[in-house]
Amino acid sequence: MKIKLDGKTIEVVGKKTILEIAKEHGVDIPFLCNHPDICVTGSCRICVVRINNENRCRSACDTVAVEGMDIITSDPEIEKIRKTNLELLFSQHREECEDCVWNPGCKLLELAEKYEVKINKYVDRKDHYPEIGFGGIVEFDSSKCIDCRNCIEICKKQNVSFLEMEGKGHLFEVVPAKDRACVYCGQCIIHCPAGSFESVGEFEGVEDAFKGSGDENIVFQIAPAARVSISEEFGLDPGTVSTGKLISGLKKVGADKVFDVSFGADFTTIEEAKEFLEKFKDDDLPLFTSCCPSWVRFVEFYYPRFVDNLTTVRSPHIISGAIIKSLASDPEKTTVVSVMPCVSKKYEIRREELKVNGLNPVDYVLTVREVGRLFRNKDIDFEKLPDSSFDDPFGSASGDAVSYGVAGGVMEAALRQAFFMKTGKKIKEKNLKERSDFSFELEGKEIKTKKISGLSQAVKVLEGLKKYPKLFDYLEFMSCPGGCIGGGGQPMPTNEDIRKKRRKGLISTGTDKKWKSAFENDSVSEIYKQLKSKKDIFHTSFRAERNPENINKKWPIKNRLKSKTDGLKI
Amino acid sequence: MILKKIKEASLIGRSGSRFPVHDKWESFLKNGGRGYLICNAAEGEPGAFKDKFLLKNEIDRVFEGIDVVNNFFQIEDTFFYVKKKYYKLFKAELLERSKKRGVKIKLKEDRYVAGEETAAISSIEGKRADPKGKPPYPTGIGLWGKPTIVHNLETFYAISEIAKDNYNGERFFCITGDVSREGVFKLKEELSIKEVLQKTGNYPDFEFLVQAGGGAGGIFISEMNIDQPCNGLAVIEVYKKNDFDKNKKMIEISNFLMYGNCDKCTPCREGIYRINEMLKKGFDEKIFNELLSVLEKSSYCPLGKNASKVFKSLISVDEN
Ligand code: SF4
Ligand code: SF4
Ligand code: SF4
Ligand code: SF4
Ligand code: FES
Repeated sequence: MKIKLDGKTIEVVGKKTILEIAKEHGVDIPFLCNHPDICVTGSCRICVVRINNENRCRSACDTVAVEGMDIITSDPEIEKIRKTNLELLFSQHREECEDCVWNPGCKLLELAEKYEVKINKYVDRKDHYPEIGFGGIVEFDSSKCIDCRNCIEICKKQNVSFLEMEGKGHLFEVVPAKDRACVYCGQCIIHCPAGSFESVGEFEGVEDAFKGSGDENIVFQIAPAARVSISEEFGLDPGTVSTGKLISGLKKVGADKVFDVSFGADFTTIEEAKEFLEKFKDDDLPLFTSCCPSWVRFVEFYYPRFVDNLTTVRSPHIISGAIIKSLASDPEKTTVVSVMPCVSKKYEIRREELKVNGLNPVDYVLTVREVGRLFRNKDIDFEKLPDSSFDDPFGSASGDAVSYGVAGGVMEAALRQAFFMKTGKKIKEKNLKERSDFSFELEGKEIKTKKISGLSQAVKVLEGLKKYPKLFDYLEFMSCPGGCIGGGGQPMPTNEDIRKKRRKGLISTGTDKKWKSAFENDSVSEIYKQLKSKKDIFHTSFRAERNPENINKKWPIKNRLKSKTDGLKI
Repeated sequence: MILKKIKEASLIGRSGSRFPVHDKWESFLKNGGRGYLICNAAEGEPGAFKDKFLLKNEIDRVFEGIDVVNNFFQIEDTFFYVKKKYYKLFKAELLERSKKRGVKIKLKEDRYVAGEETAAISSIEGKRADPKGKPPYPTGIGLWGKPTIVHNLETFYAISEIAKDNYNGERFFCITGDVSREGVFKLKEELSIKEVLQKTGNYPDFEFLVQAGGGAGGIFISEMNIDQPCNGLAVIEVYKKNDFDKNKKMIEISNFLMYGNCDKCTPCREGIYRINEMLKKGFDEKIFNELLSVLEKSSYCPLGKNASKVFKSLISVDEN
């Protein structure tokens, strides 16, 4: 089909919105509320264009092009409309640019500059709106909200529906639901165009790990998905691998040692494979992965009947954290900081049952965004950093372990391991990577597996399992779309395009490893030998929690009033 | 055949958007001719009481119209979307007639925008009554994604008249305000506002102005200009010119819209809020015009666009 875009005739194939077409043809239509993960809300009215010379404009993000359409993306009236609507958006958005997840790279400010918007043309309507904490993990500053409803949509898509619209007087506000529990996936953070959400400590807490008495041993460990996405914090292309620079940077800001979380992943793999084989023997499958804390919380709260299906094996960074402390000369004086793509890991490290000898295996979690901020605070020129390697003795992990960061990686690794343990042979790789549902034969029985990322998918499968408990034998669940590469602690923006590039980058770091699978990694057995009490390092427990009141008591929704002192800084 | 008759009668939908009925039907047929039917009895305009009048006096004609459509198309389910207040008033009558036919009743949220046809669809689907963008039109993708016909209940009344060859191009006019005979009157559709006022014995003997189309969505017309037909909703409100306070009216309408809109899009949510604010705190013509322009040109649904028309007509009503 042919259409005209700013006077140029172009060929369009398939059903596409004007915004998509413009992007493909390098024509810049400004937009704010549109996010490809969410069905369009069409609320901001910044992406307006003129079609067939109509008097009224239409939004490019939700108008599908049809044959013969004549589209004008800019004329004086369109520009004026964009400017006025931007001014109106700013009139309800309390700027707090210094402490904003969109800084640097804020689209609102970029547009304000382009359209010479008077940011303070109107008195901020939401000046006195409260800040609300979800369980002390996610913070929602409602005075920044521009009412696009993306957060409600994405939370609904995650099947949590913790955020909802509430009528207050003549206006509607985004509020947390009282009878639901947030699972801390952080998807609202990366889908909000106005930076209304952040994770706890996102700004004021990035240097906490260094605030001790000075004689601590500060150990950093880096999650797989972080080593790729950190590049984006410094303007490098998505998918660029920056492991070496990240290690150097962390050393520069004060890390004594930097380890690879992946070495913990090899233990998770081995332990999980053991558990799988046990359950296989006892005919007690299906087994669910449990290394995603949001997923665990989702099951505990929304699907408690499946709690016993969760593997009791701890997540990689908890295991590696505990190993680091167990083997340290002075565990009390060892501070472990995990660099994670994830907000939920901040919640995970507070879970009491994970303590080993009274100590938290991990003391702090910094998200990729926070590491970016930490480096910028310290004026580190990321691109000029030399490439360093992980420290010994935990420097070596298998390729599989690195794949934990992409959807499917956890289960694939455990399957290879289990198959090897049982048969002494390697599993036939065909289809393992590509397919989300992969079957193979073990001792004459068919084992059906499935990989799920994004809680929207999870619910479908869980409902299926309610009806047919033997539908699958082993399932990997990751809360975030695309797995941790799409995690709530990742750089902004995050979308399918960027997730794909991160995935590619991450997989490339796994292929040059000396060992593919955990069973080939001989440093693992070395460490096993050195550890005394294994049980409480490798396993944990879960509990069903049906009552929203209990869960909200433990992780309260806190309403804090805004201090009016934060000013605008650009 | 009923479709032919409707086309010959050039029946125009009575909702206010003035869409030809046969166009809707043909589009529904083109999309397979199967789906849902909605009868909209959710009038929300201040000063409009025509739906109430029909429920009280002509409810059987309305249901006959619903039957006609059901007989002509393959309708899976018919929904009667009705204002809560009216449901309370006519519960017994409504239940009796709808039960017999398996028509489902759905109560309208108390918000102005909830009466808009796509908002009605969202509401029946169990969601917030927010409007959806058009296209796609409901006759293609409507209730739960299926082709859907939405008509005002007066349209069903007219359809039943056409089916019985009783139709003579009349519609119901709602007359209110500073008049001696407030009420609903059945008159020829094409009459001018002036004629309507004259024929119903409501032509004022004082200087006046009118608002035609409803208390929130209607435009203001000065006495000199009432020689035009009533576009949109057939609701005419007469105001005594000497008692008329423009600013107060403007605040009243902006208040109403602020409470009645869906808050979804920037120009309507923030724009009307700021208009309301400046009417109370200090008027700035330049900003006012900017706001009207974004309302008119860039609001998501017709409510915002129409609001700007209303404000504009009100501002300029004594200039012409
Ligand atoms: S908090 Fe953010 S995502 Fe949610 S409605 Fe407001 S601006 Fe949109
Ligand atoms: S963190 Fe996840 S579950 Fe919690 S409000 Fe945000 S999107 Fe919803
Ligand atoms: S998928 Fe990964 S990033 Fe997302 S919540 Fe789970 S562990 Fe965190
Ligand atoms: S114009 Fe916008 S805010 Fe107003 S009712 Fe329509 S969609 Fe909602
Ligand atoms: S991006 Fe299209 S309306 Fe917001």
